[in-house]
Amino acid sequence: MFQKRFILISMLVLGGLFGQGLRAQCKSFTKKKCMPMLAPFLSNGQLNTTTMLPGQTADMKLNFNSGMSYRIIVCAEGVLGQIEFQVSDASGRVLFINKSKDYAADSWDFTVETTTQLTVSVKVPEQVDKTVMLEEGCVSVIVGFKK
Amino acid sequence: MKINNISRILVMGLVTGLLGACGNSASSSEEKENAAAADTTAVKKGKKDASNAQKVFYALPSPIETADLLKKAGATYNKDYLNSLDNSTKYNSSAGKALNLGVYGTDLSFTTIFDASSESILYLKKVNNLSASLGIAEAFGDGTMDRMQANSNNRDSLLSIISDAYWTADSYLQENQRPATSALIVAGGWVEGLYIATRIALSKENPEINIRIAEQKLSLDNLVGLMTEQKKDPDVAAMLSDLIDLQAAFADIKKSESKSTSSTDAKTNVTTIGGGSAFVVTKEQISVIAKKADALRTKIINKS
Repeated sequence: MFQKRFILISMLVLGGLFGQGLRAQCKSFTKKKCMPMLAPFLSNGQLNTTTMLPGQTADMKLNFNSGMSYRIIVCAEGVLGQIEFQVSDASGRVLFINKSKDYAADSWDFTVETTTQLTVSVKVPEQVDKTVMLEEGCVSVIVGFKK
Repeated sequence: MKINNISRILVMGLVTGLLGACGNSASSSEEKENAAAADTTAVKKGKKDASNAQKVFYALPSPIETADLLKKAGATYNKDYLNSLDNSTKYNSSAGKALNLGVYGTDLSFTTIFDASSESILYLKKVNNLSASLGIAEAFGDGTMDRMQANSNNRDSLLSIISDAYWTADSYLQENQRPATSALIVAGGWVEGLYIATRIALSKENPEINIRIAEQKLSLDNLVGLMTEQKKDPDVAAMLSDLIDLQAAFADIKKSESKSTSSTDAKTNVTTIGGGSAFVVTKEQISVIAKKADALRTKIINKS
C-alpha cells in the first residue's frame, strides 16, 4: 500500500516536472528562435505562446495605434509543418496571409493610419498520416512596435 | 497486475504534466489549481476534436507605447500624475503587489519616455522590489538595474531594457502557471496609463489626447477578455467587475468603422493600413472616464 502511494506521488511529481519542462521549452524556443527576429521593434511585453496540435487554430486580438509601425511574428516549431497565419480587420477582411507567399513569410511589417483592432489567426495544418501519433509543438505570436 | 497499475499511475503522472503544460499564459497554490482546471477543460475539448479547438489570446499595447503616443500628442511630463514612491510599503498582498507592479511599471515607462532619468531609477527600484517579492526578480533584478544605470543617457537602450524586462516577467509567470498574476500586472499598468492620460487631458485641452483616450475603448475590451479567462481567481474577478463598470463610461463614445485598405511598398515591403475605427468623443465623456479612472486607480494604489 505504502509502495503504491509512493509510486503514485512520485509519478505525479514527475508529471508535474514534465509539464513544467514543456512550458520551459516553449519559453526557451520563443526566446532563442523568435525574439531575435523582432529587432529593431520593441516587444509589447506579453508572451503569447501555446502548444498546438495538427488541425488546431489560435487567434490573437490586439488594437494597433495610428501613427505607429508594427511587426507581427508567428513562430512555430518545425514539427508542426507549414503554419498558416493571417491578419484580418474587425469586419473579417483579410489584410495579410502568408499562404499567398507560399508560407515563406513568418513576419509582417505594417503601419497603421487609423487606430484599428486586428485579429492574428494561426492554423496548424491537418495531419496527413492518421496512423502516427499526433505531435504537439510550440507556437508563439509576437508583436513589436516602433516609435 | 502490478505492471498494469504502475502503467496506469505512469499515465496519470504524464497526463498531469501535460495538462499543466498546455497553459498559455504563478505564486499561490489556488492560482495554480485554477490554471490547471482551465487547462484540463481545454485539453479535454482538444482530445475530443483537436481540429475544432480554438485558443484566443487577448493582448494589450505596451505601457511604453502608450507613453510614447501621449508624448507625440503633445503631453508634458508631470511627476504628480505618478504613484507616490512612498506607497510601495503598503503593498503586502499578492494582488496588491501585482497590480501596483503594473502601476509602477507604467510610471517607469513614462519617466523614461519623458527623459526623467533620475526618477526612472527610483521607479525601477520600486519595480525591482515588488517583482522580487512576487518571485519574479529575474525580470527587473540587479542585472536590469545595472544595465539601466549604464545606459541612463540613451533613451532607446533604456526602452529596450524595460521592454525585455516586461517580456521576461510575463514569460516567467506563464512558465510557472501564474496567469492571474500576469493579468493583474497588465490591468494595473493599463489603468495607470489611462489615469495619466486623463490627468493630462484635464490639465489642458488637447483633442488628440482625447482621441487617444477614446481609443482605449478597444484596449479595455481586450483587457476584459484577458481578465475573463482568469476570473476564477477572486482578485481578478474583483478587478474584472471594476473594469466592466469602467466600460460603461466608454459605451456612448461614437465610433465609425470604415473598410480597411492596405497597400504595400514594393521597396520596403511595409504595408500601410488605412480605414479602421474613427472615434468622436466629447469633453463630457472624457470627464466621466477621468472620474472613473481616478476612482479605480485610487482603489488600486491604496490596496494593501
